[in-house]
Amino acid sequence: MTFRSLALNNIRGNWRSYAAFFLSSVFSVLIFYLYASFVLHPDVVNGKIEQAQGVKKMMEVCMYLILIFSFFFVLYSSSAFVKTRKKEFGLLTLFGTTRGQLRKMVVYESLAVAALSIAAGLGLGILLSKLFILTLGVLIGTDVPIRFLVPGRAVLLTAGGFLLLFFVISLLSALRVGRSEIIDLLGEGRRPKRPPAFSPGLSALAALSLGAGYAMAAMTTVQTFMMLALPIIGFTVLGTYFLYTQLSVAVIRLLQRRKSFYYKGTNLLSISQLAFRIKDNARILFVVTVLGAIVMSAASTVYVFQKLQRDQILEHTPYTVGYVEQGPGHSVMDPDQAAALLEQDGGSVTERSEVKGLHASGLVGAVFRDDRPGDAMVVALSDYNREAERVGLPKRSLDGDAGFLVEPFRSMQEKGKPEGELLGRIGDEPLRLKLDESAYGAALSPIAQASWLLVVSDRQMERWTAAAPASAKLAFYGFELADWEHRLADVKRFDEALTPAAKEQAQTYRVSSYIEMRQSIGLTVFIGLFISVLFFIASGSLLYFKLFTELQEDRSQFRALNRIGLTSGELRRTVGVQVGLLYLVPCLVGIVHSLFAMQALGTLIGRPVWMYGLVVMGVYILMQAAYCLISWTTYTRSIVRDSRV
Amino acid sequence: MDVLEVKALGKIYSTKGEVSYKALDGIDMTVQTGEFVGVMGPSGSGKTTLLNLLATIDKPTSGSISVRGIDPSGLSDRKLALFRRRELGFVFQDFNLLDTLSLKENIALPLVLEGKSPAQIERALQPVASLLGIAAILEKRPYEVSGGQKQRAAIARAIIHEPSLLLADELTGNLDSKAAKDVMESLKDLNERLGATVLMVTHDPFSASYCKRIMFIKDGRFFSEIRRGDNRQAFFQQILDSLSVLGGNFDDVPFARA
Repeated sequence: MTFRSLALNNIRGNWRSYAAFFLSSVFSVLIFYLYASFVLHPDVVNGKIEQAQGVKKMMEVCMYLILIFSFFFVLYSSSAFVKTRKKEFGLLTLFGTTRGQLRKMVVYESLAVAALSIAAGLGLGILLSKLFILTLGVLIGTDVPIRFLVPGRAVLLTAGGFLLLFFVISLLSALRVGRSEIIDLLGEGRRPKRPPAFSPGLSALAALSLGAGYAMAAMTTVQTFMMLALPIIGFTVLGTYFLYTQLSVAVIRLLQRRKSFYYKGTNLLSISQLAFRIKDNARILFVVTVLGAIVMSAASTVYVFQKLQRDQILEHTPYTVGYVEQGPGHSVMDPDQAAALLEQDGGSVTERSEVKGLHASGLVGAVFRDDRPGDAMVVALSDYNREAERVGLPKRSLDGDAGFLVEPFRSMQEKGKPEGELLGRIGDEPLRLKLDESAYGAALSPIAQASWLLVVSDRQMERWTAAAPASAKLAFYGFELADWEHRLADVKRFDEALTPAAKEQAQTYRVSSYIEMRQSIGLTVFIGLFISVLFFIASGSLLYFKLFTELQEDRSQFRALNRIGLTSGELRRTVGVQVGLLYLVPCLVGIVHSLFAMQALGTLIGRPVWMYGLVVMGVYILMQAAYCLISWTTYTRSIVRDSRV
Repeated sequence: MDVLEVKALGKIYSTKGEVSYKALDGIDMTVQTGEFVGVMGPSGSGKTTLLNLLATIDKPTSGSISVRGIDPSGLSDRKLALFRRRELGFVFQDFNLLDTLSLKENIALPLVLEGKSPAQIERALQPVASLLGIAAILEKRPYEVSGGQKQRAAIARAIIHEPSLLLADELTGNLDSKAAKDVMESLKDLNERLGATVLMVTHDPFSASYCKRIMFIKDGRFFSEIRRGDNRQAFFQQILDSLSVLGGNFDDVPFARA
């Protein structure tokens, strides 16, 4: 038996304990390849995906970030793995294996695992990249996802990068193995654990700084945000750290003092061990919480912006297509013909609206200054109310001969008073009107004469219409398409049928600006999501590994408990409580953090946004719960299986 | 009254190949309430197998066990665990106390699992702790006390729920002679004052000399039995004589500890 075959046989014989290390390595390689194959894809490099151009540099930077992150991830899993094997190393040393040989063995083993995992990761990556590109296409909203191919540079970079990475890591762990004394290696895990302690002062500090951070986030205003942002983050991070290292232990101690709770079935076991678990894992929990909070806040923010931008586009474009005609006949297009054009290719017009109006010009008063008189479309109150209700604007009422102006942007809104008097003319007839408080937000497509609306009572409208010449008469036609997000071609067909002059009278940009927005945000969302998922899986895996480094200890403990009559159901419950809290506490704390972040964000953009964040958080909880469930079942299974005597 | 009745107990270990190994072969024994029985034998004689079968963590291939009339071989896994929890008490060579709990919590564990109230637990705990001489160190953690104290705490845990039968496995194997003596004295007190029924497996003649009756087994079969008179010293000599008749290797045990 040569030395190399000893190392290889170690892997073969010990497959189970290598599995976690191997899988995490495969996972890192897989993720990196998927990402690299996208960033280095010829279609992206050569600019076939337009929106990728702007963020190309950022995407490359992210690629290296992922590599660095993988380094620490693999380093951690390898050191966790080496730790579980200390006893084996101790035995080998006892039999006279020199340190040099031991180091050589570790390097051999790591390189063998590295070669295997790079091969497996690349293979899986190439298989999955098709799926990946499809998903990406959906997210970015491009109709033509980029071709499926295997970019040579990505393969080389992945293989080369990870070979180097594994080599460095194996050297690092080899060094660590060589340095320990035999007695430490053999006695690993036998040393008694000191019960976790806490300082009342620091626990109070944890509660105080969390409270301070939250309070500031809740009370911040647009003016104070810049000043408060750093203290908010600082206090929250500080509070989180001491929450795990101090406050958690304090809370557990308090629970232990309540005998009626503590002395209840398996609580005694799970609570007392939980104190150790949380304290041992405090740093990891802290990192997981902060990562989780960042991921959730970032994802929610991006999601919020996407939602807000969609809302904003819809606010400006009440109809998918809308146009205004002036005078007799159809200067833009016959509405029947327009509908036919829109429906030509399987589309369907779900709403069709026609509003008659009058062209008021030379308007002076209210927002129209004397030196720059304005135009507006005069409509009847009943018409306005119908259209306003449709887009969710408040209905209005008018008394007598007054009227009110409708400004096209909701964001202009200010608490208004009666606006005084408006002067102007309709055709050649002079117009004089008392104004009520203005309304804000487009009810008709705000285009040409209909950019501003002047709403008058139905009676007044009748009178004016009768008096007005045909040339001052306006007609607005609005069309709403089913599934408008995907009807760009129909809208384009309509647009192309218009004369340049008619184009000025029509609003058709809703679909195209929505798609543009989707694409530009889509890539940001994608990169954000990608990195979030990466962080998420990494943090879950950290906990998972940490759990398994204690497996040996737990096994012997549960073997003893099994002898004194702990049922396997009770064992599952005990482990379940511990694992569940280990996974869900950082998740919940992270969620609370990001809810406050959402609160602050809502203050900044002037409307509540926390409900958008809830979607992201729900997804996060679900994923974390799934992870927790997997860890729980595999962990209890390996305890139960091996503690059968 | 018989606490334990074992009839024609046999255990055959077979590996996947053709090789099978008879670890126990037709063991009969009865233990009555309040007895203090030792089981001795050279290594490989089947002591540990016997104890594992009695502890219901292994199943016999032939014969039957009955503890207070209950045959554990017919019970499901869950019922079996509850059976162990209620009817049996265990003391191990390596204590098996949980580091995460104080001695008091360790001792209370069986009652806590049974859902007893804190007040009941407190009431049960005090007399046992003072009888075993560990009342003063109840709040300490296992690594803060000596081996003998740990083993006495383990004994307290094994009897706090008043089991029908206390099973002890080489309980002095990890202790120095002074601590071993203390622990055996405590066990004897429990047996005499509280009437606890004890079955102890050991290879150590000194510990065995505290028993009232000793059963020797060899190669998985019953070999002989001796009973103690009034004098422990004489009994000790008697054990040594029996062991020399029995033959076999008795010095391997210390290496079993890593």
